[in-house]
Amino acid sequence: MSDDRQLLRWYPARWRERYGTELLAMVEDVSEADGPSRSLRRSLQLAGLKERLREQALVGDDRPAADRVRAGARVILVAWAGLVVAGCGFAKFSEHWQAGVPSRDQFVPALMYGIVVALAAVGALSVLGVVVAALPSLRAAVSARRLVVMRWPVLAAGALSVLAVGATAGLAAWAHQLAPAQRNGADAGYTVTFGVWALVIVAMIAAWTCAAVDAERRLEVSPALARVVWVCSSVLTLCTVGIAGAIVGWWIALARTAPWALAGNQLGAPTSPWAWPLAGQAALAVLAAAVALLGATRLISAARMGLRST
Amino acid sequence: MTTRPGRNNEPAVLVLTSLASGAKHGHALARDIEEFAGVRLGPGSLYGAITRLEERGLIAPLPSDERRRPYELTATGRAELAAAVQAMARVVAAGSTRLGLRVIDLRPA
Repeated sequence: MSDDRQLLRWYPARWRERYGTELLAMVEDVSEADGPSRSLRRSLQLAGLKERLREQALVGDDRPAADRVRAGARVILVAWAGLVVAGCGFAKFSEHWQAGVPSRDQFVPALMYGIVVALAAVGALSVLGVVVAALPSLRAAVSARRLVVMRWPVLAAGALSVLAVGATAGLAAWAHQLAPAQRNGADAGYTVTFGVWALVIVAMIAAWTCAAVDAERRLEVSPALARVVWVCSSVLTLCTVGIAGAIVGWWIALARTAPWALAGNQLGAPTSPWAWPLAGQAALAVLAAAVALLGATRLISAARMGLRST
Repeated sequence: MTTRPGRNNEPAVLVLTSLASGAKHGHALARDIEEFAGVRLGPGSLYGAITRLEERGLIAPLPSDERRRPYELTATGRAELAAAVQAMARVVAAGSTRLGLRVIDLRPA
């Protein structure tokens, strides 16, 4: 592929097919003998990315409300998937947290932990709500064979799910034979296996998210379904933001009152409140919340247009 | 229509204004725009505007001259440009009057 053709890779395929040749002709016309300048390349990369976002209805004010709802919902679903990964890590990190915290200091972290659990349940119900509401469209798409191309992504996600269930059962059986210290880093074999298991879980979540996003693109969305998606996606955004905030709140509460509990040290032992795994989980959760809020801007723009306009 | 060409320096208005004097391809458009407006539109911005305008039926492609495809204004595009120019003219007239400058007459000849 020539250097100029590489520049076009930033644009979506359909756009390249329609405008690629003439855009390259113009790039040649405005370039010096040694090819396009760095600033021209950068501006083409930005313009190409903007076209990609526009194609997905993620930017621009020239798309109908239903397209904006769908685009926003896709972004929010991806953000939720990221939050689920962060949440799984947080669940592992925070198990038995009460053991090292005096009762009088448990109220705020318990409240934050409770918020995480409650919002996780509400968020999961929101996802389920969209799935249930979309079942008629899904059935119609299956009947019309519009989802045939999705056979392999769904099979891959299903295979990863089977692998994840098997790995979870095996790991749980192994964990029951180990002492707490062995389960928390003393047994190298278990630690490595746990890491591989975590990767399988992340891969499974990613595979199902990709399959769901791909399937959504192939569904016909009625105005009624668009409204359900709007409501559930808004709730999911609030849950994502709330959970990210509660994870950070839980960390701050324990850091102030019982930092030793964050490192698994004995009650009262002088300990830094910094914990790398928790920092990673909190960062991923906050990133997910930011992405969800970006997706929510499309929901807001759709609401301003009126959800009935399609 | 959801995105009307508004400000006089928007790529869409500049492209429509350029095409009002006849069909042009990308590079010729960019040169003309730089000449009458002093605005340098890069290929990315220009083709972004062309994409939007063609989707909205305000401009139309002509048969391709090798790799360079010229575009022309459609009747809708001409009407849209006229509306944008009149809207800008009202602002120009108000600004000129308030600043005590000579008002430019932009009524059709």
